[in-house]
Amino acid sequence: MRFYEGTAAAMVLFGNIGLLIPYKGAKSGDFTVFLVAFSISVLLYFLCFKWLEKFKTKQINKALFYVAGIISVIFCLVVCAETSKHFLNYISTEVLIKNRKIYSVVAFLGIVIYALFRRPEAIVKFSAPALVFIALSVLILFLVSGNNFNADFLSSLFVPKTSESVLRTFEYLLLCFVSPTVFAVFSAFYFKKPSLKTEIAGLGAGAVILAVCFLSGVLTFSLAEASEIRHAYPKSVSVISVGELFTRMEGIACFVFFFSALVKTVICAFSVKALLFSMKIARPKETAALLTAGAVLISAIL
Amino acid sequence: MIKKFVCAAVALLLIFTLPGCEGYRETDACYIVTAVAFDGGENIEISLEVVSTGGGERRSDAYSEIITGQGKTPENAMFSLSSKISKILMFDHCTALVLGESVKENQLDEIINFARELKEINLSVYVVRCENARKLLALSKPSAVARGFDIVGNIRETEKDTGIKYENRFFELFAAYKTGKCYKLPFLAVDEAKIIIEGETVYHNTQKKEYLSNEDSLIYSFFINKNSGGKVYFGKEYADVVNTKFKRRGKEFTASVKVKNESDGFKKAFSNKCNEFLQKHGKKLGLEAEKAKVKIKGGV
Repeated sequence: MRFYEGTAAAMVLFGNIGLLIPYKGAKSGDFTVFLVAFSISVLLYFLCFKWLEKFKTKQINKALFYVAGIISVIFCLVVCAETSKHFLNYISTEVLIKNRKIYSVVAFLGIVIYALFRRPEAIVKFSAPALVFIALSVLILFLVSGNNFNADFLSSLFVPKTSESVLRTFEYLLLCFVSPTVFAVFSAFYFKKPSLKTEIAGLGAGAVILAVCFLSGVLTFSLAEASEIRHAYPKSVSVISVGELFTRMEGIACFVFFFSALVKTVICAFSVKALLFSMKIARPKETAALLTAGAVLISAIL
Repeated sequence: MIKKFVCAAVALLLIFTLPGCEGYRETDACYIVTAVAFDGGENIEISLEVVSTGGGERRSDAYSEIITGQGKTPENAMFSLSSKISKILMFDHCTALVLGESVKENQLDEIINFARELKEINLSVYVVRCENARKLLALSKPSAVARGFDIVGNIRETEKDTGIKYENRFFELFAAYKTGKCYKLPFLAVDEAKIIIEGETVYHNTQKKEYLSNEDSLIYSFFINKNSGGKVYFGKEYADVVNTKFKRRGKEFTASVKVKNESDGFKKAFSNKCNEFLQKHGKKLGLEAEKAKVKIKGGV
């Protein structure tokens, strides 16, 4: 189960973030800033993990317990909604351009609701083959993109300007690396003995895959352009051509993000369910799952 | 019981949503755009080469035609064009963007941004220039169903034979354009109803820096290390170039070139061509060197 714990953590980190990087308004040295933000997020994750050990066993003040619980529920719901929103926007603007958005919303949320009625072990175990598929796909696509890469674009990636880098680190931390703390909530309630080492190793694996996606977008389009166009990584995949037979491989990118968004959304929903249950706000398990799914649906449509 | 009901409901939903039949159109209700041409002047003229499969008796025949629209901006021109046709335009198979010489500098900026905003056009379309874009598409006799495919085929064959990397796909052009680097576009012409590559034009932003003939274009690709190797002919001298590496050291370029099956006078001819190129075009292209020292390693 340790292995699945790591793979699920990697999937939660990768989630919808692969669609967002490099973030808008990229400056020189963005890749270094990205790595620094990830390092800070590991520390944040460690603090959340330790805090949740006390939270779960109610070793804290009752009022603080409920306040922290409600804030955690809201945070998990926001992450859940943002993940599905980003994924569904990507689908409706890049993949199924001519189809109405409601069909992809219904299909995706239908699968999420189905997963919520299964046991949490199912989604955790699913994360393993999904991560293997994602890692292999990202690596192979990176290697075959070699023809499209321009080495001149590397120079702007590594040396940040000190004055801008602090704000930029904060931006990356807030927008990309805070959401994986949801997995700390999930592991606290659903694993008998969650392992911090395994989870951080998983986060590291997710960060490596994200870094490859980051580089792929930047080396194809340049840093400035990759941060301005939406969904730089899938677009960089769409211009790959291997001979004349293998072109327009954005279908593979679509499945990569489908699996990662699905796992992240379901894990967020389970976290909400566990929090509500621990605070004894919702008793029947199915009600909690449906409430969560309903919140996600409304947020995604809005 | 509830689980089974939910599973059945989800399965039913997926059956109707996943096949993606919504928005389906018969091919004879669409115009499949294979090339987009822009000409400038007072107004911007957009010409689309479209392939259509006729309805009724002509259902199995595919034929191409040119549709034109004009306007002050590319958006107006596209709107004027769309209002003339009754079928839907499908850009999924668009392979070439052709820019006419009459496109002015400010119009080029508008066109590049317009093409980027047009989501239906794939970022890997090939961008080329010619004298008159609409005439190029109208006059030449296609070997494939559409001239757009001919243009791409021509570029790919030339890249394979000579090793020149044109880097003229739209995303490559746009990245160079946005980062202030030079980009080059093949210049096409029609010769006996066939499309040929006559040379190459080097641009910086929207300004034309220099026009290069095919031979100069080959030499330039060596200087900027954008040549993957191929057959090279300088008059009677020839060789198969395996790889090259050009480096600028102060006011001099040093080049190390690996070749095979070379003629006796190839080294001298190659060296002379490089130095002639530097004298003629070096300054305008920012190469800033007076001499090229070429070391050729033959018989590889």
